[in-house]
Amino acid sequence: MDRPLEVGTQDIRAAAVAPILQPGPMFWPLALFLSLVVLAGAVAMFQQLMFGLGVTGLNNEVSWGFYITDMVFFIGLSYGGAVTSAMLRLTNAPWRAPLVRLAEATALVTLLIGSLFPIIDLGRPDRMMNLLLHGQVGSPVLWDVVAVNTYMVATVIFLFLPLIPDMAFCRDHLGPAAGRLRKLLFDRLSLGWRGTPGEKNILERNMTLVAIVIIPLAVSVHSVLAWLFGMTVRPGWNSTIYAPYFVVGALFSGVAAVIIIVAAFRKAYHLEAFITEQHFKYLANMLLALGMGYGYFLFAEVLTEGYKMEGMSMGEGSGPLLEELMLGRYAPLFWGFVAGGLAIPLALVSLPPTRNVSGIVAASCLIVVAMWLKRFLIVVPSMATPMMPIGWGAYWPSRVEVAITLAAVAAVPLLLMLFFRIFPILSIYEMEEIAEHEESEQEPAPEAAGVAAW
Amino acid sequence: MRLASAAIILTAMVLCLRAAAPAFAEGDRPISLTAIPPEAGETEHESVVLSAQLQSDGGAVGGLQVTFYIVTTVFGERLMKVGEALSDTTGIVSVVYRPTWTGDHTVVAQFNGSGEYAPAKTSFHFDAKVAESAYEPAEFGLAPIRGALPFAVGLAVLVVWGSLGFALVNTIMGIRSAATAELAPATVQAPAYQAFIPHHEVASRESRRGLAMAVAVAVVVLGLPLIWLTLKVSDRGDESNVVETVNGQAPGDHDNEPLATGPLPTTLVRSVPTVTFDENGQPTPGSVPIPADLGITAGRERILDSTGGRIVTVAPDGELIPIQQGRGVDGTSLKGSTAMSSLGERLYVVSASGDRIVVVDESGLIEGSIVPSLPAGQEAIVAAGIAVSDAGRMWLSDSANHRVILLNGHGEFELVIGTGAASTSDEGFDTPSGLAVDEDGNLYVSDTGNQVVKKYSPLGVLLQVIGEGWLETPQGVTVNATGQIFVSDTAGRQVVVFGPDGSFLGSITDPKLEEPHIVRFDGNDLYVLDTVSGMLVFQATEGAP
Repeated sequence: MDRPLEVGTQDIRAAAVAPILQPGPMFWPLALFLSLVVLAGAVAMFQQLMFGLGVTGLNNEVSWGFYITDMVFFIGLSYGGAVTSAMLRLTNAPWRAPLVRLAEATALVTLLIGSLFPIIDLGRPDRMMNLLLHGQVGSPVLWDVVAVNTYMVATVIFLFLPLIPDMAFCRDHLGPAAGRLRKLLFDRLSLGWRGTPGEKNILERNMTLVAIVIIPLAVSVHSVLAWLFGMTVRPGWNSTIYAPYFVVGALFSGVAAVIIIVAAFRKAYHLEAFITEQHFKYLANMLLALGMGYGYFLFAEVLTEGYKMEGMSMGEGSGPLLEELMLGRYAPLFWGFVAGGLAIPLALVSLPPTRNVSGIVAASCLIVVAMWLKRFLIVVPSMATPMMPIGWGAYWPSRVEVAITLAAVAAVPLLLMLFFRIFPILSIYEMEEIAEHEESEQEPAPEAAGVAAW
Repeated sequence: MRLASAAIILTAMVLCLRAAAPAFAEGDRPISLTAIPPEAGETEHESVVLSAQLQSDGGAVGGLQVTFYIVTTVFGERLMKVGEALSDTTGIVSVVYRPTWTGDHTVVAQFNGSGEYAPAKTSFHFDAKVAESAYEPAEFGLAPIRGALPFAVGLAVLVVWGSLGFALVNTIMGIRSAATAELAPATVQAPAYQAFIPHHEVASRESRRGLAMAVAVAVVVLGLPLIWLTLKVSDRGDESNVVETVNGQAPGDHDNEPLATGPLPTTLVRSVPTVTFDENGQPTPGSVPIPADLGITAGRERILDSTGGRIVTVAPDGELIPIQQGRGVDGTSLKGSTAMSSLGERLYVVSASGDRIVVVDESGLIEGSIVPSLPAGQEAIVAAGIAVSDAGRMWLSDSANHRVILLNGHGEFELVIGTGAASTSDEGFDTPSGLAVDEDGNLYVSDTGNQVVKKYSPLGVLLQVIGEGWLETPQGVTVNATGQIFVSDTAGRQVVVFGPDGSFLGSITDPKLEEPHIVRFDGNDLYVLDTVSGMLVFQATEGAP
């Protein structure tokens, strides 16, 4: 087994702040490219605001399309980052230290992007306020907004707390190289941290508290999101298992996203000494467990609906829907998901020849793409199933929707790149604390040594 | 060789194309599909029969299938299939359609052709008077659990926010206090006993302080809005509850209600008769026998003289001075006008025929006219009241057609409330009359026939039904700056006052109130235009709500 933390403290510190001081030759070209993609999305958004939702492929029958798919997808990604980090912290897994900052930042960035999509889908962003002014407490929509906002605040705090000592480090050690604005930021946000035992005690306690809070919170966010579908009388959504189904799906795609982000930043900033293949294998184990769990949910869902094959009536068109999914027009997408999102990736992370960084990252890429596809298959075919005698609905995304979706995808690495231009990419504090702890455990106790000698 | 190859390929292509062609090509015999739109009376039911007739060479054609569609315009125009049926021996084919919205419907009937006949298509319109929602609200059970659930969830959210607030504030204050505790001996003259307090206890005290602050912040930032929202929406319940209970008291409850139902303490501070009589008992020239409406612009009271076709201003000594009595440059006359409203320095007067709204400036000059543009099928307006919002949008009550119409500042139609026929339902009116708009743009309609006042949002959504059981013939309505609602009850010879929540506050009675018609508020003055007594001005005295 690798020993990821057998590196010098100076190396950890230097590696953590390297992106702040020296972003690398590809940083600006890549940032420019991603910014252009985001800009194209902004132009598309402007077009939608000017001309309304008519510029999208949404129609009478299929009124939820790419945007709702994107919302579920991105919020799901955030879920993986936050819950993974929180669970590893609570179980005190020592290997978590180099990953948590990347995982938590991914959680925040994807959540910020995901939470924009319901507003984009509204077509009239100004009507968002109506949710508060005329909200119905019995509606999952209202609670979804409350849950997502609460989760967002929790994610910010969860990311901020372990940043305090790191920002104190930057404040004390980066000097003029940090620049005036960053120095001001470090000075203010480090809250006068000096690393005393009392401070550490308080910080540890509160980090644990937030980690405890964020897990049920994240579960609730995705459960409420699932209930937006599950409580609607529509074929395919009429399901009691939607909440756990969504939760597991979100974790599955979220862990895959964390793997991709970690691999990309590891490669770009040469963090191989801290984030080793062993980290990827640990994450691959999580991926494997979650993938099998998700496969089980999918099987249970399809089997139950397929056994009954209810006919076409109000809310009971699951039979025709399943036919469309498995044998009809959506069959390539459905079986594409089963193969590309479950069978192949799980094989890649299980089989020894591909159970390495490349194989695990390839599997994660497949999972992320396939899970987007799965969310599309949850949203669109159910909407297209006729509830009135108007035939099957059809949906094809417009260029505006595609541009906005691509912009959201590009915004994730862009925001993360910018984030790590300001804040350390590794959690210096946690890595050093764990290293110290491990060292103290390895050294024999002086009294014991004395007794043995005597 | 090449030629032969090309010939073979061409022949193969022709054969393929022929093979791909439909086995039964459409015939070319002409056939006509004639629309049979439903009669006006037939569209007043939940189901409407859509019909068309197939004819060829002057004779009916039976046994052919025709499909009917409704044109929908959500997200672009498209056809929504209603159904298909075979034509009978008379060539008539019919399907039943249940409209899900009221108003204009475009129907497309299509015959796709057969082996003998060519395709044919026709379309027609009808105006659906009754619509049934495509979705019926489910009837829920478990009411006690459903009622308590939002509070439980809200409490859980509050706990989460409290925990997060605690973690954040406790960390911030704990770190600062730890630093202070270490610096204290050098920089702060600490009390002697503090030297014996370990640092972690200092931090612990700060933690408790942090907890208190966090809880306070969480309660203020999240708790209060959440509680407000929960109470607000819980109070609302379903829509039917809104209408029945917002009055504060259930209809009829006030019969045994010991609350203040007597006269409100007000003082009649001014009384200006609008008509005087000569020795023969005839109205003197300059009198306003039927004061139709009252507006206040530039601090002066303006009375609409419907019969004289003029506007008079009330001088401080009570003299009535005409400021507008001629025609405008476009020949506009105010004769017969029955409704007037003021906005800033302007008066808006609806002409007798309802075909224009005349705008008069503070000096009485007609600035111009706004011509209402109503969609096809809407009857001309017979205005009983007008109210102009700060944004310049004009609400008009049409007592003859039992509706209230909203026009924008250019007179373009925006929406209509009411079905066009007298109705006792919440969606309709029975002879609506006076109108008022409050500072938030909400509309108040005096629904005379139903003996209530209805409050609508600026978008025409019913918010409250006010005054059930308290009003006899509500006519005028006005709202003061605090949101209190004043309603003139002509037959009751009183002005009835309701609180902003619709609760009954009391009534204003005075011997001079004989046929109170119009009520207006200006500053602290309540103006009442009484058909018999003229213009009356009341002020609240001590003890008034």
